[in-house]
Parts: sequence; structure tokens; C-alpha cells
Amino acid sequence: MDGQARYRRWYRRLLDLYPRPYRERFADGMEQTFTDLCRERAGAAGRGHGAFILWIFIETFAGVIRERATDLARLTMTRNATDVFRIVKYLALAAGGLMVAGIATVMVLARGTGEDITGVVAPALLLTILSVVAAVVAAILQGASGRRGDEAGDDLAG
Amino acid sequence: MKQVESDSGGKVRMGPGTLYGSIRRMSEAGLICESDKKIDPDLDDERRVYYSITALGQQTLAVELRRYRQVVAVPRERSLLPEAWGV
Repeated sequence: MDGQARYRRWYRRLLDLYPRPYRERFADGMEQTFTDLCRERAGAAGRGHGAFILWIFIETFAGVIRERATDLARLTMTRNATDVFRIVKYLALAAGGLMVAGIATVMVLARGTGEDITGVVAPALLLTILSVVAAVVAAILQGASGRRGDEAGDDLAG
Repeated sequence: MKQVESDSGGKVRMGPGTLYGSIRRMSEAGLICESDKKIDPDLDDERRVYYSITALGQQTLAVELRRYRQVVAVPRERSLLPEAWGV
């Protein structure tokens, strides 16, 4: 396989990192543009070709990050922050519950052995408290976000 | 991309990542749209896509140019621009 075909294959793989709607719309065009640029560059000068290809890859990768970030921002806006806070709340509660179960298990297993379990229980307790705090904060933010959403809905309806 | 590099005197280099990202944003904003017009169908690759500026795009461009003119007008009115610039 010659260098051009190899670069093109790698570039196609890089384009696969774009969000699907973007990829479906622009990947063919971008690949064609890349091929045209490579062909022109190879015809114009032998030296610096590798550096040029590397620049195109880096520039395109920056584009991937930009489009992914845009996608993520849109997703957060459209799916509503309330859902995100609700997920965080349940995750924090689940983590806290697991910690409590773990602490109880360790205490039951260590009962009667006289073993010092402070080194295990203390960090687990701390994590439990942090999980509860995170769950409470997420619940408050969820409520506030929900109220904002309702107000926005009323504004739109009005 | 070559036009941008040429217009900027080689100061701005645009690659496919920036170009197609800009096309997407301008297209979503309704400033440009895909065009059926081909420059030369005989020489053309059928996969090539052409874009043309929309009426909204032309209006936006006019507004932006007016804004630039207003910005340049301020230092000109206050005689802050060297005459050698000829602006």
C-alpha cells in the first residue's frame, strides 16, 4: 500500500471520531479535500509533506474536539439539566448505600475477632458523608432546575 | 482554503477541520445552503458539494461590514490613523 492510501485510511479513521450526524454529512467531503490537498502537496514539493500531513491531522483532531464539545453542550441544554442532577443524585445515593453496606459487613465480620477496623471504617464513613452531601446538593439543584424549567415553560406558553 | 491563505497573505491557514466546522455552523444559521450550481460539470467530481450564500447570509454580511466600517470610522474621525495607511 502506498503512502497516500495509508494516510487516507488513517484520516478516515480520524473522521470516525466526529459525532455521527456531522460525520454522515461531511466525512466524504473532508476525505476528498484531504486527498486533494495531499495530491497537490505531493506534486508541489517532496519536502515538508510529512509535516503538512501531520498539521492536517492535528487541525482535524482539534475540529473533532470542538464538534464533540458543541454536541455535549447542546445535549445538556436540550436534555435539561434536571435529568443530569437526578442521575447524579441517584449515583451519589447508590454510592452512599454501598458504603453503608460495606461498613456493616466489615463490622459484622470483625465482630468478636478484636481486629482494629478503624482504618477501613473511617475512610468509608467519610465517603458516605460525602456521598450524602453530593446527593443533597444534587437534589437541591434538581429542584431549582425543575422550577426554572417550569417557569420557562410558562413563559413560552404565555 | 487556498483562497483564505492567499487573502490573508499566508497568515491564516485553514484545514478541513476548521473549514467544515464553519460550513456546518453557517449552514445551521441559514447563512449558506447547498447549491446545485456546478462550476464546470465536465471537470467536476460528482461528490463535490457547492455552497452558496443565502439572502439571510447577504444581510448578515452587510450588517457585519457596516459594523466594521463604523469601528474604522472612529479612529479616522479622531485622526488616529496614519495617512500612509490610506484607510
